[in-house]
Amino acid sequence: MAVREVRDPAEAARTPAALGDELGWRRPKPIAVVALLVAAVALPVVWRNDYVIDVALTGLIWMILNQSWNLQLGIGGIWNFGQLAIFAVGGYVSALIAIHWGLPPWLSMIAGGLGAAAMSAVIGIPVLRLRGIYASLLTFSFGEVVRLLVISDESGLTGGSFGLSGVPELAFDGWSPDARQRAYYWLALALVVATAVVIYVFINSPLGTALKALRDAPAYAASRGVSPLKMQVITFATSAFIAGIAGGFYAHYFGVIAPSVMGLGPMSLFVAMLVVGGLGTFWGPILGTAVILAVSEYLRDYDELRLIIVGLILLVTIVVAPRGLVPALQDGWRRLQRWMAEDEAEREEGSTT
Amino acid sequence: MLEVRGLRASYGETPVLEGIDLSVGDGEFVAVIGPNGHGKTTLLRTLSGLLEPTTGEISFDGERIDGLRPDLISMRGLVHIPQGDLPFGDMTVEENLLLGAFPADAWRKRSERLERVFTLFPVLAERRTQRARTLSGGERRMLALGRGLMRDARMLMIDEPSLGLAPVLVNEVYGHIETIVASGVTLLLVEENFSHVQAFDAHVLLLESGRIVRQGSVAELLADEIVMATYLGT
Amino acid sequence: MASFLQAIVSGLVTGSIYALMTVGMTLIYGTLRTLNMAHGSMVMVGGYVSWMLFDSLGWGPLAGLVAASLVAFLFGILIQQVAVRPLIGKLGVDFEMTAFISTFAVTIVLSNLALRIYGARNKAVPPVIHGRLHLIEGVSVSWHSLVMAGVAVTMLLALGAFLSKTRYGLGITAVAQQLDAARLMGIPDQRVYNLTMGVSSALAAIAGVLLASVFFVSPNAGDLPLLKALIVAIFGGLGSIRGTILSAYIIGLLEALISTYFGVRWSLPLLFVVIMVVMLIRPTGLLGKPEEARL
Repeated sequence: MAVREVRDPAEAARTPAALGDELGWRRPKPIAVVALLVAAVALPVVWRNDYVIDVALTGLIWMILNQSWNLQLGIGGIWNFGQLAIFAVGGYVSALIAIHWGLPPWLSMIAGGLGAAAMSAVIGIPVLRLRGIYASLLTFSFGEVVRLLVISDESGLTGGSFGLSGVPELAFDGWSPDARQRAYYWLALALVVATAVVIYVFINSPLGTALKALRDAPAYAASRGVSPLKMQVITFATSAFIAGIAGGFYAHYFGVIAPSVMGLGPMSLFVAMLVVGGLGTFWGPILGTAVILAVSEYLRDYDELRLIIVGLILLVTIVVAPRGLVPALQDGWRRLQRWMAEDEAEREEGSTT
Repeated sequence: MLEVRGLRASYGETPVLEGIDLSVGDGEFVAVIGPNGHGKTTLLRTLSGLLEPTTGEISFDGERIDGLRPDLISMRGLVHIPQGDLPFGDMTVEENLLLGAFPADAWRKRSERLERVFTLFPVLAERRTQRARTLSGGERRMLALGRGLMRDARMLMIDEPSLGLAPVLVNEVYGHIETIVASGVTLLLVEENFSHVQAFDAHVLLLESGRIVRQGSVAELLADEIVMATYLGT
Repeated sequence: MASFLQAIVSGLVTGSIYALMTVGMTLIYGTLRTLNMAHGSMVMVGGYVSWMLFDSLGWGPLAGLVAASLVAFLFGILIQQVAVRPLIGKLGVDFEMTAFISTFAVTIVLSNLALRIYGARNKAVPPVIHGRLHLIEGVSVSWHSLVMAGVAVTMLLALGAFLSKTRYGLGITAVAQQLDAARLMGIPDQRVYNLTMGVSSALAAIAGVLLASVFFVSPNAGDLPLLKALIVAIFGGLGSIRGTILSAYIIGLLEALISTYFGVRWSLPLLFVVIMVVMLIRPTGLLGKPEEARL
C-alpha cells in the first residue's frame, strides 16, 4: 500500500481525442446537446416564474465560474483555492470602471476580465513551482488577503464589508423587467456556451495535452520540453479572464458586489459543485452546479440543514466516487451497453441452437 | 516452518514470480541465489506481506499467511530484514533498535535485548544517539541486522546482506550471520553471489526469471559442474 | 519600551497556544500525508464541550479539558475512518487532494451541525481565574493567559515524551518516516493512524477549551484556528514537530508585534503577506525537507 500514488509517465502522452474522451466528452449525441440547449433557452419563456429564472441565472453565472475553476483545478491539477477572489476582483474592477469612468458595462466587463487575468498571472508565477498543498495555501492566503483588505477598506472605494453598490446595468434600461431578466438570462447562457467552447478548444489543443501531461507526470513532461511556466501562466490567465467576466456579469446583474462572495462559506458550495460534477471533466462543472444548486434550492427553507446536506454529499462523493458524477455515469452507461451487447449475443446464440 | 506452493506475484502488470515452491524447516538455513531483477526481493516482500501475491499459498507454522497484513505476519515471528535496510532516518540508532522490539513481549525485555545487540555490534553502541541517516553503508547494515535481532524471531528473512558493501564489511556481516545461524535461528537468505554462502551448511535454491530452476545442498551444487559453470561461475 | 515587552509577553502566550493547536496537524501530515482541514473543527468541539459542562453542570475548565480531549479523540478516529481511510490506495485519484477535500467536507458538516444544534449566538465561558498579574510598569498578563501557556507547554512536553519513549509514540514516528519498515516491525498502521488522529484532535480540543473564554464559542470558532494552524504548520515545515513549535512562537510574536504597532486589524492580512513571501522563498518552511515542496 502506498499512500502516494505513482503515475505512469506513458499515460501522459495521450492523443487529444483520448484526452477528450477522458474528460467526459465522449461523442455526445449532438441531438442531446441541442435538446439541452433548446430547453435552456426556452426556460424563461416557458416557466414564467421570476424567482426560478433568477436562481437559474445565478446558476449560469456559477457555471461560468466553475468551468474556469475546473480548468485549473481539475484539468491543470493546479491547487488554486483563491479563484473566488479572482472572480470578485473581476467584479470590482468592472463595477468601479463603470461607476467612475462611465464606460459602457460591456467594456468594463472585459476590463474586469483583463484585470483578473493580470492579477492571476502574477500569482501564477510563484504558484507554478509549488506542489499541491503548498500552492493551495499560497492561493488561499492570497484570496483571504484580498477579502480582508476589502473588508477593512475604509476609503469608500470598494465599499468595505458592505460591498459596492450602484453598479450600472448592462444597458437594458428602459426595458420591461421581464424582458430585462430574460436578456440577462440569455446573455448568461451565451457566456456559458462560449466558455464551454473556449475550454473545449483549449483542451483539444496541444496546450491542453501539455497541461494534462504536466499534471500527471511533471518530470516526464519537463523532459519532453514542456515548459511549466508558460503553460500555467496561460492557463491561469485564461481561467482568470473567464472568472473575471463572470464576476463582472454578477456585479452588473445584481447591482452590487461584496466581500461576502469570498471566504470559506461560499467556497464550500463551489468545491461541492466541482467535485460532485467531476473534477477534470468537461461536463462536470455544469452538471455539478446544476445538482448542488437544485439541492440547495430544494432545502432553502432549512438553512443549516442545507449546508449539512451539501457537506455530506461532498463527503460521500469524494470518498465513494472521487472522480465525480460524470465519470460514474459514463462507467454506468458503458457497463449497461456491454451488458446489453452480451445479452444480445446470448440471445442470438440461443436462436441458432 | 515455512511452506510455499505455486506462488505468483507481479508488479503492476509485470509478472515477476512465476510459480515458486519452497519450504524451510525448523532450524534450517535456506539460501535463494539468483541474478538481480529475477525476483529475489519480490519473493521476500511477498512472504512478509508487503506485496500481495497474485496466487499461491504461503503457510507459516502450519497456518496460511498469504494476503495477511505485514504487521500481522511480523507479529507471528516471521521477521523480514529488507533490502536497502530501510532505517528510520531521522530517529537515533537506539530508537531504531527499540522499534525492532515493538511486540509487547519483546518490548518488555527491550533493555536487555538492546544490550545484547550492542555487544554484538559495538559500532552501534558508539553511535547510539546519532541519527540513522548519518550512518555509513556498513553501519546501516549492522543496524538493520541488529533491529531484526531485537525480537525472538521464529524465522529471519534477510535480503542481500552483502549489497553495496566492501569485501571487508561483507565478511564482517557474514560473520554475524554465522553467529545467528549457530544460535539455531531459522534463516531464509537471499543473495546474488553464491560464494558468500558456500561455506555454510545450507540448502540452496537457484532463482532465475521468477522460477526455481535448481536446488540442492551446498555440497551437491558445488559438485555439479554444469550448474557451477552456468549459474554460479565467478 | 513597555509596549514592546507587553507584545513579547503576549506573543509568547499566543505562541504556546498556536503550538498546541498546530502540532497535531503536523503529526497528521507526517503519518497520513493529509492536510487535515477538519482540525479547526476540533478546536470548536473543545469549546462547545467545555461550554456544555459549564452551562449545564457548572463544572469548571479542568473537567472541560478532560471531557473535550476524550470527545475529540473519538471524533478524530471517526474522521480518520470515514474521510481518510477509504481514500488510501484508491487508484486514479490524487490522495492528497481528495483527503484535503474530504476533511474540508467534514468541517462544513460539523460547523453547520453545531449551528443547528447550538444556534449562531456566541456562547461565553468564564476564564479559569480572573485578574491580571502585573510584572513591571505597563506590562501585565492575565492569569488565564498564564494558565493557557502553562497547560500548552505541559501538553507539548507530554506529547514529546509520548513520542520518544512509548511503544506507540515511537511507532507513530516510525510510520511517518518509513512505512514499510514500520510494518515489518509489527507496527499496525491502522491503529497508528487512528491514534495519530485521535491524539492530534484531542490536543486541538484542549486548545479550544483554553481559548473558549478568550474568544467566544461559536460554530465558526474553528475557522480562524484552521487558518492559523495551516500557516504555522507550513511555515514550520510540514511533518516536523520541532519546526511547528518554533514557527508557532515566531508567528505568535510576529502577530503580537504587528498588533501592537500597526493595529489588530492588520495582523491577519500582514501575516498572510509574510506567509506568501515565505512560500516564495522557502516553501518547505523552517525545518521541512526540500524534496517535499517542489514539483
